[in-house]
This record gives sequence, structure tokens and C-alpha cells, in this order.
Amino acid sequence: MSLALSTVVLFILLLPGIAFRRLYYSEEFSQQYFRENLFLVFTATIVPSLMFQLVWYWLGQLFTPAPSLSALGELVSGDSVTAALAGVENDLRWIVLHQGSLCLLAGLTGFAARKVVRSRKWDRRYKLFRYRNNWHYTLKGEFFDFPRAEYNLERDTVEDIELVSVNAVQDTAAGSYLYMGLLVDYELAADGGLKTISLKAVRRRPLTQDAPPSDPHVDRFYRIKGHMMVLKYDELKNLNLTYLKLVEGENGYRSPVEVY
Amino acid sequence: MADHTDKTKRQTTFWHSDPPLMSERVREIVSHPVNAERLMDAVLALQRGDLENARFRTVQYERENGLEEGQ
Repeated sequence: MSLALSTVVLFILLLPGIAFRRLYYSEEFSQQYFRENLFLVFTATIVPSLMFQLVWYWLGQLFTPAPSLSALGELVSGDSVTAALAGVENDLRWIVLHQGSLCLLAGLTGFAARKVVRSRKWDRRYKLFRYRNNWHYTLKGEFFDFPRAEYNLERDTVEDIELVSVNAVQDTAAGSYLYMGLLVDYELAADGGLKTISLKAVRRRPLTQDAPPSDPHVDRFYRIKGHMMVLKYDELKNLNLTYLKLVEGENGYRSPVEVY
Repeated sequence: MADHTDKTKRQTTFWHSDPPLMSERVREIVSHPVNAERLMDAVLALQRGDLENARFRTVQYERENGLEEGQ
């Protein structure tokens, strides 16, 4: 019973760290949070939890007398549990307010930290802040901002990239086909790899028909009708990505050009 | 901070720290199926080096200016 109680107490103490990390690794980077095993989550959570708890406990004392930490120690260690629980009951309101506000603060801190890191591009500049979602950086072209990128953009910036054109090769029983379309979405697998990519305005042709036909009126591409086509990454042989932007021309024409 | 209202760029700001895959301008274009096809045709022309045909015009522009397709 004491083991179960101390586990519950420890879990409650770790809640701020859990809230912080959950909101820090959210949206496109949430797979990194769920990918880690229990041990990693525990060890990565305990440090921010301890920091939050200590700082908030100290700040709380500035406004109202805080309960003694000896009751907490007794609960965790399993000694004098009855007396410790009586102490908790006396200070229950303080404890609930403390923990509730702390979890809220920790969550907001994680949210704000992520926003700062992403908006200031610290994850692109510094490996320390980089998320383990490589496909995000690849598909959005953000890898061009990596200091150690083999090549970067001379004229344009990552923000100039307006769309990504994808060429994907898929083997079928009838041979290899090349699918070409505009990237509109993607989904990650549980292990952080790519699960699916979604394309729009998709064309398909046999891979062997690289050369354009001699008759210009013959279209070697088959246009695939539909709002969106989802390709499973594990069925693809390779992907070719082209990062493009649109340039305004005369008479309302626009031209896609490669960023460089 | 960058102006996230610029439709031609995928700006990164504090509240929009994860820019989408497409700029707002492109999202508007591909929302119309005909425009999406025209854009893809222009991209394909670009990839095969046919710069003359690597361009497109939206249906809305043609309608607003009383143009027929290809005019």
C-alpha cells in the first residue's frame, strides 16, 4: 500500500514536467514525445519537475505560509503515513491550488518555449534545440538553414518556398511508375519515419517513359482525378523534392521557379 | 517579427511558428481544381525545361478580365 501511495505521490510531483514536455513536443513534433520509452520520459521529466516544484514552492511561500515538506517526505518514504495524510488533509486546499496552478504554468511554459524556439529558428541553427522530426525539416525545406547543410540557398530564403513538388517512384506488378504532384500534407509513423504523403494534381507515367514522345500532342502522363492522393511511404522507392516559388509575370501569368 | 499576412511567403512568427507546406497564395490557387491542374502543368513544363509553357493563369483572373482559356 505504501509503495502504491509513494508512486502516486511521485507521479503527482512529476505532473508539471509532464505538462511542460507534452506542450513543448506538440503538433508536428508530438511523435517525439510519444516515441520515447517510459524510462526516458521519467528521466527527462524529473529535472524540469523538480525545478518547477522548488521555484513554485518558494514563490508560494511569499504569499501564504506553505505546509511543511516533512509530510511529503513521509508519504514518499512510507513512514508515518497516517500522520502524513492527516497533514495533507489539513493543507489540502493549498496543495491542490499549488499543484493545479503549477501544472498550468508548466504547460504554458512548454508551449511558450516551443514557440520561442521555432519562431527564432533556434532548432534550425542549433542542434541542441533541434527536434527529432527530420521529415519536417526536409519536407518544409528548413534544412537549408542548418549550419552544416551541404548547400544552402544563395538568393532565396526558406520562407520564400511556396510549394513543394514531389516525384515518387512506386513499383507495381505492371512495372515502376513515377507519381508527380504538389505536396499538401504528410503523416509520420510511430517511429518518427514517414508514413504517408498526400499529393494534389497528381500525374503518373511509367518510369521507362522518361523521354518526351515525338508527337507533342501525345501526353505520356495519366492525370489522376481526385481531391488528394495519399501515397504510403513504405511502398515508395524514392522521393524527389523540388522547392518552388511563384513569380508574377505579365497579363496575370505566374511562373513556378526553383528556389536557390 | 515577420509579417505573417504576406500571402507569398511562409512566414514564421511567434503565434505562427510552424509555417504550412504552402504559402497562402498557393493554397488559394490549389483550392480551385482547375487552377491546381494548371499549376501542376506549369511545374511539369519547368521540370522538362519548357520555360515557355512553365506558366499559368488562374480561372479567376481570366474571368475577371473577360479572357478565354489560352487567350
